[in-house]
Amino acid sequence: MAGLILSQVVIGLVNGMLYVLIAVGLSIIFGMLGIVNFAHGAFIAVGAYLAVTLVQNFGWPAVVLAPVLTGLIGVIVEMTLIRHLYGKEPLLGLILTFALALFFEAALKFTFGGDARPFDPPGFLSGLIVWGPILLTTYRLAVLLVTATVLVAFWAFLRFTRFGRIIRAGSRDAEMVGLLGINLPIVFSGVFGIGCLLAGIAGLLVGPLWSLQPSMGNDAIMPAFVIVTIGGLGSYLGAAVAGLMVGLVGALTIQFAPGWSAASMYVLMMVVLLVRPRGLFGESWERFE
Amino acid sequence: MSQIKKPSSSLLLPIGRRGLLKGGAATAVSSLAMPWVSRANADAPIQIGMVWAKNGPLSGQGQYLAQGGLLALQQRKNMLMGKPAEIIWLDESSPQNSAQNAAKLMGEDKVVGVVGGVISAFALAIAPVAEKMKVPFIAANGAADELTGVDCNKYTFRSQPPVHVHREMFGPYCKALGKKWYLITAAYAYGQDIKKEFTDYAKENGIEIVGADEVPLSATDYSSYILKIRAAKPDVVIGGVVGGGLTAFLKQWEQLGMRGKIPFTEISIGCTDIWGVGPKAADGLFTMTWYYTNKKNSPAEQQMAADYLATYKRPAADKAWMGWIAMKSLLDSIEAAKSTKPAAIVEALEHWSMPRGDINLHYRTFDHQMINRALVVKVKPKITDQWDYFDVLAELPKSPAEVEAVYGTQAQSACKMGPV
Amino acid sequence: MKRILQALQHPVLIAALVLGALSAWWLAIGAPISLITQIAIYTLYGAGVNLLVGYTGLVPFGASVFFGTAGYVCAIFLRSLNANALAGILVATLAALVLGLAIGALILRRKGLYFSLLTLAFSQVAFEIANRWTPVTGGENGLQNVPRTLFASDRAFHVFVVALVLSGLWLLWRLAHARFGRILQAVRDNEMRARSLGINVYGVRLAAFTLMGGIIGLAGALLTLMLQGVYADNLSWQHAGDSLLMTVLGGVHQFLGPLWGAVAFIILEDRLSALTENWWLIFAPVIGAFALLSPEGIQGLAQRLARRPRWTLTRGTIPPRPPVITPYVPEGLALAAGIPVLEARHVAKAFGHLVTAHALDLQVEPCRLHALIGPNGAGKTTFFNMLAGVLPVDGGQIFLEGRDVTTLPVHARARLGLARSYQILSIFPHLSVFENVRIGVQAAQRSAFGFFSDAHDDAAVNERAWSVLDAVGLADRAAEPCASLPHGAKRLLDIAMTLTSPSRLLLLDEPLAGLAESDRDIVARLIKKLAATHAVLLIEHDIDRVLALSDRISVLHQGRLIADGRPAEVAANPEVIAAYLGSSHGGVTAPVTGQARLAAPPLLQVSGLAAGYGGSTVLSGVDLTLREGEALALLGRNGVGKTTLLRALTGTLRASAGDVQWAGSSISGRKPFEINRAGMALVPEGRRIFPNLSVADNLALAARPGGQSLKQIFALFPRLEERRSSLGENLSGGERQMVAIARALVAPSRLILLDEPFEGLAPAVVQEVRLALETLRRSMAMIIVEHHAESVLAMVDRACVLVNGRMAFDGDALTLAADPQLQARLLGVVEAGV
Repeated sequence: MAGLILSQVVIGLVNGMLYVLIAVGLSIIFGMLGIVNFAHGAFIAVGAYLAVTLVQNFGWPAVVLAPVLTGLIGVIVEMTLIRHLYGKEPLLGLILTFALALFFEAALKFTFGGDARPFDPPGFLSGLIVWGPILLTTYRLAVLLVTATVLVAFWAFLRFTRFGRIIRAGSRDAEMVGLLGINLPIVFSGVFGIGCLLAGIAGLLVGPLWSLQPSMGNDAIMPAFVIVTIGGLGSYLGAAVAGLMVGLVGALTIQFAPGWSAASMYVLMMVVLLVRPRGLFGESWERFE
Repeated sequence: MSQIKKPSSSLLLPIGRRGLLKGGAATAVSSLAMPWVSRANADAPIQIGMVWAKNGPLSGQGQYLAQGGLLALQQRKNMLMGKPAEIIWLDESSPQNSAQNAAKLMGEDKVVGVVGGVISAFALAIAPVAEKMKVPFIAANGAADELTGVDCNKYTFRSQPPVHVHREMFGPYCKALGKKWYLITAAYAYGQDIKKEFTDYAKENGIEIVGADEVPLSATDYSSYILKIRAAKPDVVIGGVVGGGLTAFLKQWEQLGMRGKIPFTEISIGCTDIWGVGPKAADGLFTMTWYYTNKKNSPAEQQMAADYLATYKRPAADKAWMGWIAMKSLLDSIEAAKSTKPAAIVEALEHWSMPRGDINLHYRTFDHQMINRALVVKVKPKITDQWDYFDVLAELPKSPAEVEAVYGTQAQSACKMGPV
Repeated sequence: MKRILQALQHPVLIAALVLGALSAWWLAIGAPISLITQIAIYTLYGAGVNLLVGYTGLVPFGASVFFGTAGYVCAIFLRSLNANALAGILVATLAALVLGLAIGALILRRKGLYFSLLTLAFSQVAFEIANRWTPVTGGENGLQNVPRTLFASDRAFHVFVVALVLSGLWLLWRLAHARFGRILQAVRDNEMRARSLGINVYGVRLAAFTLMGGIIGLAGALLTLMLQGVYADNLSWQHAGDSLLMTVLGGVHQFLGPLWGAVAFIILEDRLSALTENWWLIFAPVIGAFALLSPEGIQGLAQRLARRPRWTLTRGTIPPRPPVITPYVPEGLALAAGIPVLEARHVAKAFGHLVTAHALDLQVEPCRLHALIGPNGAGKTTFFNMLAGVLPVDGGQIFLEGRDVTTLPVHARARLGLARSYQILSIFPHLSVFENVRIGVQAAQRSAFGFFSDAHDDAAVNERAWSVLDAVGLADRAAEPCASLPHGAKRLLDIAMTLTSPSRLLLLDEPLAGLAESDRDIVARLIKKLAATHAVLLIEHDIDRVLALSDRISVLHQGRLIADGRPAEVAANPEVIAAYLGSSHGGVTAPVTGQARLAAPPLLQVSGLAAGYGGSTVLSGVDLTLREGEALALLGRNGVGKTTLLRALTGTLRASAGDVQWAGSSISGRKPFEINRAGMALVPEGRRIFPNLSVADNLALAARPGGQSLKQIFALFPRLEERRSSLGENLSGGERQMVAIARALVAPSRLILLDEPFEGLAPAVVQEVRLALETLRRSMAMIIVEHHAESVLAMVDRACVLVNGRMAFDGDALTLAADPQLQARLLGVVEAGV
């Protein structure tokens, strides 16, 4: 039993990390642009479909292009549509991203069909790993490593690069960033693109795990929202901790009360927020209040 | 508004999606601006309605079901009783939406019959509308017992066998595989039906249930469940996860090295669920209502499979057959009734039959349940064709008498049907 | 005739006509009427949501929890008891009300997105329960065959629903105009102000949330009856936002927004979904286009086309002005003789390193005008915030007439007789001038919970509101929306709101700031009058007036009270003179005269510049020329447009007229980053350094080749070197100002704009910043914005004075410095009589 629970913990960890990846993308778009991106799930699907198409046509190495292309689509969407919403009624973002989500899902269905498509992990990642009581697939381990690497790299990017500094500063006072001679419109496009790129990475990673179909990303949106909320809106560390919590609580509810595993994260969120109004690591941040 | 505007002279000509978009837009504009136009035409074609999901996770199945329905009419050269006929396909995104679109077909488009209901919940929502508006409705993909049980009505027919019947057919098969079962079922009505039926069966047959998990609707990751199954070491896993959930489950089942270790079984699955899994991970033993390479398919069914392949450039999935058979029974009945009056069509449907092997497919008069066998299929050990994943092991039950028996008697039925 | 026209514009009538026309159309095409029934139901659903979004300013993502739950309650009740529809509706609505009260009580203390997502979480949990609890809810299959005995036919039910929805809308329209509805809008516009008027914001929100639950519950029950069944879908997150989406689509600031949204959304969906398998490819762009084309929703778009944009949450009218306005009589509460009205004992407060209150002791006597003065940054406003309950104290106690109020919330203190005005303008911006004052009068009566009769029909309240408006001279502008008032009038309104309540104690924070001379007289006389019946504690920089008006003066300096006594004593106190005047007269190098600078080429040339916000004009016809290396002081009272001018120069505000030339070429319409790159750097008001970045990162962000190196910066501000790795949020005010200046220097700049650079700084820091600016003065041009002339005139070449958005003086700094009369006229301030 202890071994099983340990295995569940590891599975919860992998899922949690995936959700953190999705949540971080959602979070930086909101933090910088003030847009609650309900189309984030659609971008996950776009990333997954791009990945499967690239694999089929050019082999596995080409998949690295999938997130990049997803990010580029994000940049185009920002430059043509999202851009017009800044400084207007914040709720309009809700309508526009809702429309975007419908549009991308329909476009994927139009192009690839509505039913699920096969997508397996690459051959070299299809093994199984057994460490004592812990059982894990090679692919999941790879997912864990990739997400961890991406998250650390992204953290370092935010922390140490010029663009990262701009994003961090811009999430607090975007106008002031512009007043320092930084081309804000390009930064905004870039941030939206990065958010979508992270969604694209998530899509690429979950493609072989989940059912690959146009609405595949939708079920990931709510966990992502829950995670950013529990962690505290805008907190990177918070998202990471909350993601692991949600993953663990999910896996352990499956072990002990499987039918309620979907509700468990909402209950966790309510409890955390009732005790800590701004989540675990949330700061007082005007945009979220 | 309609999918097929003018009866096409060339049979089986697929209409391009773009063409539909344009034509559709034009009709929509006219119907918005000039509502009287469509009513002014006395020679208007006979209209038949379809309600199948066009978007969302259910649209994969919806597409096959709709194509099967369209094919049934195309095979008649879009004619009914010597008059042109057309199918209007509306969307369904929720039970509420299904019911409203069915009502719209019946009220606004004056269809003479409706086929639809991609899941039980949608079919259950449409059924009362059919009764209220007195238009025949054939539920082609709902397996909830209530459809032809407590919630049956004179205007509602159902072509899919209910969960209980699937279990009656499949139970012995699973029992033969081993006496320790593990149930993994979706945490909502359909999955709960499966859980209840197989738990009952296990009790009656001295089978030990070593584990039973319910999976939330939104689950994307099944590895935690698979670990539990692995630890419980059952002889058989009885599944009750559907659609994308089944696809994801089987992928993760394979990745965790479970494929082929413990038999995975499930009732009433669709080809599309397994196609999405891919040849590498596909696994399991299932019941299915129809399969396109089945040697026992009747000539009409073989013709349908050939026509489908010619039209859509891919083999007919079981869902295409289900959409087709439901629509065909409706069209046949209209033709037989020589009338578009609901009462006449209902009566004709009650008398409709189609030979298949040693039985006749037909709807029982007292509960409107279609009588048919189910197939037991097993994923091929090695899959070489992009579409052909299954070997048909058996058609159950064996004898025609058993077929009738497995559906239960009128006395056992909860259906209390009123007059037309 | 006019009355008929007015009646025709009644939104409920419009809704009736729209629903009637749609019903007729649907019957004509033979379509099932239930779709129009659904539109009516979603209109009510949306109206419920909008009670929160549009009126109260809270956004619930998961209002569906009430819609769905009530639907189930109705279905289960009717199926098990076979009761009639009305009973089902009643039970379901009550259940939703109770649920609303319970959920609201739990989550209304959370704000913003946290609140929105919490509502969604409740909806999602309800979904999980409904979807799993099959024996009761039917699970995924839902419940069918809900009996509907009263309105069996669809048409009869449709008529019933439309009638019920219209009555519901009518009641909501009444509610919006009743006392409660009007309070909601005040809370939405300015929560803090509402509190200080004695409104229990939490209670008001809870009531609104509960009401929303009830209305949505009613709609949910109607949907169950329409479908004669109930399903979990409406609770799931995919559909939870449907009604919010529709409402935003129609316009959240429009009473009929939910109607337009429901009509557009449902009809579009219904018609488009029939078109093609891929109808989302058409639907999505259409919906998206609405968002892009029409920021105020469908009704907003129509208004824009008709050129009559305005919010229509309530009628845009005010009660008729009485022929004779009763003169304002201050309404003081009975003051107990002998005990101080207000007593602060050892009140302390610190923000990080910055101690803003060191054990302050203060007593305010009844019927006395007590002034609290002190240099900028002395901690006066912080002290006020503690007295009013906005900020918790770190130590000490506060008594109101002997009663310990240290831990009471703002509104409770207001109800005990503490009224307050704010230093920063604090009004309800989307309400009319009259309504702003009327809300105050109404709040004073402690009767927030009138739900039906029109608050504007309350003659006594109106009379009082007119008296107060007249007292500050705003009676003529009563019907105008606040947004269109000039700044001075807004200040008067702010003061008027403070006068609405019968109080014991008035805390007035710079009531004269930003007022024209004539207005200053009005307000000063008013304050004197108030002091006869109230205890008044006044913060004011206009020392002459303070000395003339006050009965007693306390002087606050660096968080300590350094003097307390009669005006004459305080004015003579050498410590006060030293502290209050600080080092503004300190030794500074002599300014270069305008003559010497004439030779330099012009760097910045502004001609005929006009700018404003949202249609109002703040600046007009401003001309200004600045030469290379010249230092200019831009002076003017609070709110005359100084910051607006800087915003227009830096490109964050688009000028509505005029031209800005930079080194010979126009930079009008250029983006802020382009202007900054051209060499214009801003040190903004309030510093605006990035709190989540270290000092080094704050600087690195702005650094560009050609700017000053870190070494140079650290030579200028040695303190920053010590603090280089501290986060911005942990810096003191002075350090923040240094970072803000340094940030402007690390990029190559030819002009540096400093907006109130000394505000809130301790004298020692002021001196340090001043010296740094002195060092920079020869190397680049400089514009220093100040409302306090004395502190900058000594260090600039030229001075410009803005008065009410126009340039009133442009000349030599020495000329202005030497002419106190001129200063008094332009700036309305005469510095302490020394």
